[in-house]
Amino acid sequence: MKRRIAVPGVAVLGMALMGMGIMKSPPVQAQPVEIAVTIPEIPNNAYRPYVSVWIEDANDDVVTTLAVWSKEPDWLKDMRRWWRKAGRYDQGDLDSVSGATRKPGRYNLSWDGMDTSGNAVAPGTYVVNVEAAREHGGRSLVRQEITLGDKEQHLITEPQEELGEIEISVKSKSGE
Amino acid sequence: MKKGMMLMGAAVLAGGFMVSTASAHPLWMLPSEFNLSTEESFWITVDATASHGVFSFDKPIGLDNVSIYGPENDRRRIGPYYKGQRRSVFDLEIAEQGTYKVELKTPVRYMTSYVVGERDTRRRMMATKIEAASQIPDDAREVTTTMAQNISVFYVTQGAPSTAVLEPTGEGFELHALTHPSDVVVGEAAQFRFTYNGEPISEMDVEVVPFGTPYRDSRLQTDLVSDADGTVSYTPALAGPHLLSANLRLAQESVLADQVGVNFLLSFEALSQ
Repeated sequence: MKRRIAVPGVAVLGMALMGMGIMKSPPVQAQPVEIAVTIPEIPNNAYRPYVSVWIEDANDDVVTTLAVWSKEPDWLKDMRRWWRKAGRYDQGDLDSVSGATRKPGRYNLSWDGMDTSGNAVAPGTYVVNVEAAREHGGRSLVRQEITLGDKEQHLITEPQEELGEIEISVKSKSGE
Repeated sequence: MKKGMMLMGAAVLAGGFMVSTASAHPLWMLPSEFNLSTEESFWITVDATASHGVFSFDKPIGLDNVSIYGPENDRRRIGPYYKGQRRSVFDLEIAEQGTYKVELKTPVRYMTSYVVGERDTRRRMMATKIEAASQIPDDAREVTTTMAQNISVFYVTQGAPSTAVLEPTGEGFELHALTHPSDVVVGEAAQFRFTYNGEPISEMDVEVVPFGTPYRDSRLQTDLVSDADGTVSYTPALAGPHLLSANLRLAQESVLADQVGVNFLLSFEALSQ
């Protein structure tokens, strides 16, 4: 709903300029989003968690997966929501975001506002999802709503059993 | 196919007392996994038992009536199996991506019941209408023959769900999974439709109970009634295995019976939000 309303002035101006042939390609660019994921140190458990980071839209439909840190495919399903909504429908497009499991620490990711087909998403409400599942441990899912439009946002989520705080920054559009 | 089933039916009927005792109980199956993310072939293991409890063990069952269908709806072999004192177990290789169907379908049995004598004593015998005619007392009243069948089913999906095994055929009692059994999610309404010979079964009682009744106070049973289109809607509150059971009693006059009785059980996993 929201994403239909928010048409930032800049985009409108851009379209107008385009119509006059002044601007070339339509860079209907969304605000870049920076996501810092913290994997907590857990005493007496050396297993590294499986972690996935992805974006859903306001209808809970997957927009794109930003990262999957795993080892054996057998346990991908333990990232339950990600597996159900994105992982099991992989057509090879997840290769580029897949990597090895990580040690405890802080990891920086970013989302350029593009969906899996490389199209810029419309302004509106989106949900940053971070899910972690660990052998001999638990499963944590963090879902944080963000709004892409023209406002900057800075959000920090509560730490969970398998996830430290997640810091999310919605930046101003590049070049502004 | 039909002939084979008939022959099997005869064999089981000949088995006599034990079979009829066991089939008085609902037959449930519970797989070790309903959903897999493996890339290679993977074995799952399945518990099967005849029990009035929800996923509790009572009696072992014969596995001759278990059919396994691969993602193309093609028949697959059962793996190693075991029959214990309280349950039966079988393994099953999930070698391909997509949804498999595992169905336990007992051969059709005929049961005739009647009341007799001044005290209206109710009696039953395993007999078709024709067989019963020569066996029941002359003064028997309220004579009804039921064609009875137990059907128990679950679906297991490797990777993305597929739908070939969900296609209805229009024959007998059937589940139409309007919501894919591998897409039932906590907090989201799942819809299942039921038909008999392709006709919607309306006003049928359907109950759903989540796993774990011995470990909680409330049974958490949800009672549903199918609508005119034969559909029920269920929104799970808990993640994990659930047992859906439906009991059909349908008046249907034939040479061998007066009504059809089906006990249907579907085991499914409600996935986390």
